[in-house]
Amino acid sequence: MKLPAGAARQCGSFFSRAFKNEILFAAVILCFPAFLLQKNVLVLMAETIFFCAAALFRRGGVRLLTPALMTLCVTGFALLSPFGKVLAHIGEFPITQGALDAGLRRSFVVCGMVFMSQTAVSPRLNPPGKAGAFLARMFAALDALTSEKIKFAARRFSFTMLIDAVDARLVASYEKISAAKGEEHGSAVARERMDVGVSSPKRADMVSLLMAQSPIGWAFVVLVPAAMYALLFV
Amino acid sequence: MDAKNDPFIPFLAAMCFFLSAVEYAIPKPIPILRIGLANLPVMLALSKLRFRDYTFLVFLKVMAQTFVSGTVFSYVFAFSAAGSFASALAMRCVYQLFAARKQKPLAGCVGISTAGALANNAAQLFLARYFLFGAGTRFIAPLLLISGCVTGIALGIFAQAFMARSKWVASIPDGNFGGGR
Repeated sequence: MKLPAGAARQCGSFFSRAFKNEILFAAVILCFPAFLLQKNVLVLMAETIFFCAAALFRRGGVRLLTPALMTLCVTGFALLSPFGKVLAHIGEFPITQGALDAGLRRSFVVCGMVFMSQTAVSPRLNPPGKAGAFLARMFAALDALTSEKIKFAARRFSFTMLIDAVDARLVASYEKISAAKGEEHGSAVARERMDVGVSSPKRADMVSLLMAQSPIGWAFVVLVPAAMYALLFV
Repeated sequence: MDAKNDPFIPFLAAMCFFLSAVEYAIPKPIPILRIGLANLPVMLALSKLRFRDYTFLVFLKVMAQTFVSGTVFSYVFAFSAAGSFASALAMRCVYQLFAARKQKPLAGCVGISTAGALANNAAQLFLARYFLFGAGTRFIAPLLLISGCVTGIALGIFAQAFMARSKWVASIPDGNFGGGR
């Protein structure tokens, strides 16, 4: 699903004005435990849709068919092990509350995680500290691994074809994050850091980073994690 | 190459995260049964990372698995951590002793993976015996060990075929982080 070109440009410019990449990244990382520990399936679904929308507005497009198919398959398979209250019957087959909840929870966790990493990661992300840099690279890799469908060269499926397709994706994703790392090293900020022999931004840089975030951006990065943690107790 | 700046460890950690999520989404008839998909990056790392970085990757894998399955604050975390570290240690030992030899290696991916799966199950059975089920553990032990062998062999066959064919694996030099194995 893609936004029209004009709308995508406007959303992109709004995001770059309202948010500093590093602060948005930190906020999404903060949301991660609250998302993964959420037990209520409806809340989990709402959070997944929220991050899907955030990724759509930030990037101008997201892939919806794969998550939809995955949700259907995972939930369908989960229903094969019925447990809990019987909600309905399809022929002789019972649809049970426990199996439905388990299947939906699993699929929302997987899809939501992908949307969250798509919201958090941007090519110009440069968070402070070694841990920040490590997490940024890890999420960039997760984003690269899940950003496109794995393509099969031929129609007839074989084991070697599967290996080649997975390998092609790994090569492309690894080159992508290696190139991003090279750009980061070539940037003025990175060069300045190397010159002074420090691995994280100076305090003045941190303060200017915090000041540069707009009030709308601050409202988002404070309220969204707070709401997600509060929803853990629903 | 410097471990702090190279994207290899974060890349493997992202693979662990992704494969943990995929494994979590696959329904299993019994919750304790595991396919071990997230072990693939750990196996790929055997020849590529020095022991310290390898252990760090295993720690990240445990965190990914427990966060994705939502069991980080439960006893399942202890089981997952014990199993993963025992498995990683067993795989490393088998690799160092039998597979890292340049001439006529005595073990391949299947042996390494099966050793890892059995060590994982042994650590979990040990914890189950002394902290959870007591003597009743012997009833689930055969099922767990047989399933461990099956998934270990299957994963080993896939890893062997993948490593033999993969351009990505070939592009990363062995022991590239400080040269240590």
